[in-house]
Amino acid sequence: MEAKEFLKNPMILLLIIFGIISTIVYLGIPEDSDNFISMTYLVYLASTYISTVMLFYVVKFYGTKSFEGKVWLLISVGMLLWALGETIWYYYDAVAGVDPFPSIADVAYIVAYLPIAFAFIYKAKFTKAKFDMKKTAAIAIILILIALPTAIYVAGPILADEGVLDMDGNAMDDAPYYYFMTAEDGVMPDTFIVADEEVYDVAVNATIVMELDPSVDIDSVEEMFGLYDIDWEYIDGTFEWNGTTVTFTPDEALEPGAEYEAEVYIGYGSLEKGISLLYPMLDLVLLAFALFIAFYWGSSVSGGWYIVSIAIALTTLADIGFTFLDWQGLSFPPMDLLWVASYLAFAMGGIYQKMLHESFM
Amino acid sequence: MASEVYQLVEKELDFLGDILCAGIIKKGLSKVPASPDDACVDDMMMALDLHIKTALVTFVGVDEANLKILNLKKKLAGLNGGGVSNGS
Repeated sequence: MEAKEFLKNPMILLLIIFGIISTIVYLGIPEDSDNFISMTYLVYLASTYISTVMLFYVVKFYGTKSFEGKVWLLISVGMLLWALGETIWYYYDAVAGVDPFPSIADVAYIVAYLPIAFAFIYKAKFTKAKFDMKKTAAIAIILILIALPTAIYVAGPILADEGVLDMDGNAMDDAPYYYFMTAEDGVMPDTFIVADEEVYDVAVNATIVMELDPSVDIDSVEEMFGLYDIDWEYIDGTFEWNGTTVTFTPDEALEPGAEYEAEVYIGYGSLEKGISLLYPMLDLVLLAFALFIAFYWGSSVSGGWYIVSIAIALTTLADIGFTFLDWQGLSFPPMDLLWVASYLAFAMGGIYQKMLHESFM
Repeated sequence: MASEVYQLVEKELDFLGDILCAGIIKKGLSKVPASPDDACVDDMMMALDLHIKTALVTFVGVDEANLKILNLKKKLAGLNGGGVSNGS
């Protein structure tokens, strides 16, 4: 089958057009626009369901009794679970207004790896590739090149990261957070700041008073407290303690009419650490299978599996990126495009295989 | 009614799925040209080399496809009471 024929297929065209639309939505709509969240979620969720439907269409072509059909059924089930996970994530994030990580969505995401891994194992069983030292070494080198920086720059710091602690040295799961804006010159300012509420017209010489849990470790609070301006520049200051009440006084007066955030850093809990690192690990397992396909099966088992390999590589990149950014408390919405591309590539791989095998009939 | 030769190959390639399996064998035979109803062993041997083997490679890879084709040829030769080359 020629590339031109592949690209002319209506389903492939639909996937490509959808990919272009998604890119335009993510990069073209300003992030502070009212429509940004709804539009990005719309294309993001649509990509998962479009891919799922197309993959089940591929399964229908092969039939569930054939071995190729079983392989694509397993991949389709995995994709459906990812789609469900994304839907649950959307509900928590955009509808319920709850932090979706970690949540039940992660269960769906993680379980999805099982059928996809089984699909590869099942496919590999039929190809009965013979062991080849050079190919295996090449796969190992690629995996190490990805795993090593991930371990050093992502997994290591996340595992070592600890937020505010209690007197027993355990991570605390709740701590004050403050967002406030200092008053413009000439405005009569408030002089106190309340945690977990947005406060405006605060005095430039205001102090931040925190009522803390009695079990909190005082040294830990001083280490984990941070006052930042809009550019995330750290503002120095001093602490005064009175029982469980602590007052933070900035060394210098704040800027008038400026935004500030102050928090006692909680850090990732054990569950968040475990789940966030599980994704890159599972991705590397899938990537190992994908590389096995590319290196062992070669072009003889057709380009569809190469496309699936690319899909897994994209998911791996996206998951590693998300893990790093979320741990840093940052977000970069256009990174979602890696997942969108990955989901669409899974469907493209399936359609390619179907077209290829149709051409033999 | 499909010939004995056709039925033998269809049974061996059943793991591809009914429709796909039948489609691939029929297209292979059409290149000979022959039909499923009256294909003889020689027709099927040619169809295996001309088309079915290439199709099979895209499912199971070169090594496994060669093995399966060789086994099929042996069975077909058994119907004819003769030997078989590996066709490569």
